[in-house]
This record gives sequence, C-alpha cells and structure tokens, in this order.
Amino acid sequence: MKDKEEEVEFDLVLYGWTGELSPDDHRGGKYRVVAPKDSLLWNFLADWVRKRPEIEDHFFDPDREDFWSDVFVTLNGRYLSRNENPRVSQGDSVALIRVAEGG
Amino acid sequence: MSSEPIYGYAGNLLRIDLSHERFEKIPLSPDFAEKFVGGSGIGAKLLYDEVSPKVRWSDPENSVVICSGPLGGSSVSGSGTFSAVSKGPMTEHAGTSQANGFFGAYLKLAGFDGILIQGKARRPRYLVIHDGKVEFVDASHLSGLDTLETEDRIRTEGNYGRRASIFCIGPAAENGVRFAILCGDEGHVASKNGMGAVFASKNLKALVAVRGSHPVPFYKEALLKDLAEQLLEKAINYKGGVIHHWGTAGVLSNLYVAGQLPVKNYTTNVFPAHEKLNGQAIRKTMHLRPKPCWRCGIRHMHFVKVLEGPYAGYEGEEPEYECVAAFGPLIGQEDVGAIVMLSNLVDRLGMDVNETGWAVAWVMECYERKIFTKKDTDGLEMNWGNVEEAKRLIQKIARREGMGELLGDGVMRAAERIGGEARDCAVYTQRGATPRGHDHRARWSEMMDTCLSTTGSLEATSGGGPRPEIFGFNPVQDPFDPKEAVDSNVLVNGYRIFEESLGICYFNTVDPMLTIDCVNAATGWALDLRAAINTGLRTIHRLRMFNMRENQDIRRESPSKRYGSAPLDGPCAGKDVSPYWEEMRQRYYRGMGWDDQTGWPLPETLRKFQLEELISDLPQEVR
Repeated sequence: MKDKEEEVEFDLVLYGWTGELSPDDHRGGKYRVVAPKDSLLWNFLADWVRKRPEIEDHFFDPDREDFWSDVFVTLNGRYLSRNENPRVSQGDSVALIRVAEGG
Repeated sequence: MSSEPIYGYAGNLLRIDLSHERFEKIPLSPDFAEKFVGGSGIGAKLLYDEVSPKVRWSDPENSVVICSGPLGGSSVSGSGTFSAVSKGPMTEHAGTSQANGFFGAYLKLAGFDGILIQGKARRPRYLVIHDGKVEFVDASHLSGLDTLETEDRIRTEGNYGRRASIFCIGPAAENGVRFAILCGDEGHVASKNGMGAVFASKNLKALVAVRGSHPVPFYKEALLKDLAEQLLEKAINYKGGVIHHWGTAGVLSNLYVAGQLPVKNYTTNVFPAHEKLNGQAIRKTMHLRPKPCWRCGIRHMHFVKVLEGPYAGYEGEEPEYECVAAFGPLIGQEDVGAIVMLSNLVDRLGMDVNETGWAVAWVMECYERKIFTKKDTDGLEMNWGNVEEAKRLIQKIARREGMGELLGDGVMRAAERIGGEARDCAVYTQRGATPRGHDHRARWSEMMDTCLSTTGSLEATSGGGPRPEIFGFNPVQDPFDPKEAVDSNVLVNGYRIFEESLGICYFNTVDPMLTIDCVNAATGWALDLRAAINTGLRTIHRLRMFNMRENQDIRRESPSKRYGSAPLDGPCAGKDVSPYWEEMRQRYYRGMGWDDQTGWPLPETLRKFQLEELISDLPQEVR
C-alpha cells in the first residue's frame, strides 16, 4: 500500500456529452480521486478516464488516443489549456467538460 | 433546356416578379448545378448577379433567394431544409439563413429547386407554388396575424392539410422590425439578417409550397438510401445522442461549466440555476409530443406542455438551446416555463430570438444601472428576470411602440443612438447584428466568425468551435491562442457553407465523408472533401466580393466594447481578446487570401476559385 504522503486527493466533476455524469447514478455527485503526488494533470486524467470505459466514450478519441478537441478542463474554477500541464495538488477541484455541439 | 435529367435536382429555378405578378421557369444547367450546388451557393450567385451595388435592402430591386439543394427531398434525414439569401437589414450586406421543416422538400416536389423573388407587390400577397405553377393570392386579410395564425389561416383557406409547407412573416416584419424572421411549419425559422423584413418590404406575407408529384431523379437511389441510413445512425448517436435524447438544450449545463453560457448581458458568468433549465430538465418536467422534420430520424424537436410553475398549461414548441439561453440566463430568470412562453411569443411575433434576447438583456442592465429609468422604458420595471415586463417589452418591439421603436432596429443601432454607458454595455457586432446565444468571450474562434463572416451570422464554425481534426488537420490546443483561434477557422472554412448548399439540416451532416458520399450518390458527381470545401469557399469569396462592392467598412468587423471584453468571473475570467483583435483580423484576411489592409479578395484568390469574372469588380489598387 502506498504511503498516504505520496498521494493527493482531489474532486473531479464530469460533464460528458449527455450532461453531468455521477459516480453513484445521481446528479450533483463528485468523484473523489486519488492520484500519485506530483502527477501531471492532463496525463493523470487521460489514464484515469481510459480505465473507465463508461466514461472514456465521452471524452477520449480512440483514433488519436487523446482527448477530443472539444474537451475543456477547469482547474479550481479556471480554464486550463492543453499547453499547461500543472501537477495536481491536494484539494484541487477539477472539471472535465465535453463542450458538445448543438448549443 | 437539357433533355438529360440533372440528378439531384428538380431541374428549374423559379423567378418571381412581384411587381407585375409574373413568374418564369429558369431551367438549370448541369454545369450551373455542379458549380453552385444549391442553397447558399446558388443564392450567393443569384444575389451577386441580380442585385446591383447600392440597392438598399428595402428596395424592390433587392432579391430574396429561397433554395433547396441536391439532397433536398431525398431519403436523407432532415432534407426539407432551405436557405434564404438576400441583402439583409441587420448588416445591410449579404445574409444567408437556414430553416428546417418541410419547405425545401415540398418545393422540389412542386418542380423547383429554388425561387428568386424580385420586385414589390402593390398589395399584400402570398404565393402558392404547386405542380410547376404559381398563384399570387391576396393577403390583405392576413395583415397583423402572427406567424402561427397566418399559417393556420392559409392552411384552412387552401384546405391543404399537411400537404403544404408554409413560411410567413408576422406583425414584427409588417411593423418594420429589422430582425424579423421567416417562420413556418409551426415554429421553424430562418432567423438571421432580417429575411422577414425583406419579405415585408416586398408586401409578401407568405410562401406556400404544396407537395406535388414532380419526380426528382437521383443518380443511384438505392445507394443513396443505404448511405442515408448510415448517416442517420451516426447522427442519432453523435456524441452519445445528446441532440436526439435531450434536444439542443441538452448541452446547456456543459456550456455553463465551460464558461460559454451568456449570463445577464455578459455582466457575470455565474448562474447556478442552469440545471433547472437544461434539456434534461425540460424533457423530464414537460409533456412532450414529437415534431419531426421531413424524413428526420433524429427527431430532436417536440411540442411541449408546461406542467409546473406560473406558466403551467402553456403549450408551444420546445425551446431550442438558444431560446433557453436568451430567456433564461441572459435575462437572469430561472423558470423554464417562462422560457417556453417567451420564445414562442417571439416566434409568433416573427422576430429573431437571439437579437430579441440581447435587446431585453441590454435594457435590463441599463435599468439596473439607472442608465434607463421607468420614463425611458414606458413604465416597465425592467429588473433582471422580470418575465411579465420582458413580455410587454417584446410586444412593444414587435409593434415598434414606445421603447420598442428604439429596439426595433436591433441592439447595435439602439445602443449607438443612445451612446455613452448604454452603448458600452451592449453586446453586438459592429456590423449590425448580435451574436448567437453563447458567451463568445470563451469562444474566440466563434467571435471572429460572427464578426467577420460574409453571411451575417456564423460561416465557418458551429456550436463548440472549429474542429480541424475532422478534416485531417491538427486539433486546436488552446482556443485562447490568437493565432490558433484564427487559423482553425481558416482551416475549416468552406465546409459549413457547402453544407448550407445541400438542402439538409446540420444535425444530419455529422460525418463529412458520408455526407459527400450521399451528394455523389444523389448527383453522379465525384466530389471529395477538398472539392466540397472549395465549393463552399467559392461561395464565401463571392459573398465577400458582394459585401466589399457595397463599401463594407472593414473597421466594423469587430465586436462592441462589451462583446469583446474579458469575462469578470467564471472559468475564463480575464481572457481578453481585445488586445489581439486587429492582429487576428489581418491574419484571417491573409489566411483567406484577402488583402490584409483593405479586406478585398486578391485576384489570385478569385482565379483559384474560378471567380475570374469578378476580378473586374476589384478596385484598381488591389487588381
């Protein structure tokens, strides 16, 4: 078992292409995510999403093996570009959003 | 006239002379069809040729083109769409606008691919098109009726039942509102650049296309049907089927958390009530009855009955995303039933929901900041979220009465007339129209597109911003990078206008390659993606030439102060496009093959797109 000090916990909110996704099948839920300390956010999110097929479909382009280009990430309420890849910190709040067409 | 059928086409355009109540069939040639395709493509060609420079939008010499395309009336889902193309009153330049429903399909089955409407009727008229013929019918008794009443009355008078598609104008157009729309098939609209106002200027109340039996030949009908089924399956399941399951408002909460939902006239990006208004909430709390378009399998639209809240019992069309944005967050109100009521009211009066929403929101902000008092608003208490007062203001706009006289010309003209702080807080493009229902400060590409498009609305992008990877280019890494925001528009530009030329709804063209396969099966052409994009670009360069020929002021290809401001809060707080705007505009010109100082297309660009005949219209310094 990993030392707790080597891990960080943060909140993750998911808005897939059909709206908000929830860990326990009710709206308003947040995923409580544990990540290795010093994880790069985009890389960690990609790994995390790909381990969950029911979520992967919403966010990941299997052909390019990358997030769909219309996936937005906010970190602590601020937009995060793909050119920025900060390390995730204890208590962060992250949202992964598919900006679906139609609107 | 060619003896060979032109696959994918009814084979004729219809020229209407309202002044003399005459009509003429204009046979299509195969070359003309392949070069201009249909919809916005044919519309742009006819507009350029038929409307001389300096003709005003309201002059009888202005033309309106209503046109389907090679997939119109086919087995492809949603192929009842048409484009309306004219010189429009909002930008006073070219405008193209699409409406879904049945009209495009019925027009082809009546024997025509498109209609060129010219002149001005001496008395109000509506036109009935059936089996290759046109009737000019007195419409005096329809004056003042709203769009649904007009449609019902005409349907009853002609005993058409469901065999006719009817698009008409409402009282707003008759009273001179610039952002008046064409509305038909119970709530479908061609809403951009004041096509309804142009109809009113011609004393034209409505167009009726009666479903006939004119055969439309398709090159490989069985193949087309097979491809259409594949395309429909992709369209239904596109992005998890969000449009199919939840309607366009199904994306509202996603847009909110991404900072792309317009809230209180761009004064904030905080609107926790978004979940009460999204498509999921609408479909779970209202009674629904499907309302599909021609051959549509996506069926994203419904009639609804409000079951809860102060507007319980109200029945109307389900609000699209932009209706929800306009009469929910934009005006700071949280009751979804009120959105149904207000958006249906606007459709019935015959006005653009975007422009109307921005106008109401602007008045509310000015009222809150005491720039406007009750004296200015004719006694209306225009606090944020005041639904009943918003309703009264909307009715005043449609009548151009009191404050409605000011607002009937749209937000830009009203704001520039008042000036000062009122002007500074209004959201509009300097070219004359307001944006679609998003916060484009979080979508720089779409703001660019809105301000620089040749069509008066969006030209390159669709909801969610440009996605160059669909066309084999690298995806956008940072939508707030000024260069990427421009270059991604340039890379994808042309395809959307190509789609607008086909006679089908955007929601059914989710796979560009499969869509092009459908076009080839319908017509016998051998288009590839590059050729399709180039066809769209040819239309864009032609429309650009039309607008520049009309002395378009390129300095006005920019957002208003508030529209181009940085969000104050929310996920995109501080993202400020304004320092980059000038550089972005010139970069876009260069990317499009236009002179970066004057904005005119370069001669080599016109040659590249087989538009040599337009070179003589270039000013000497560019030639």
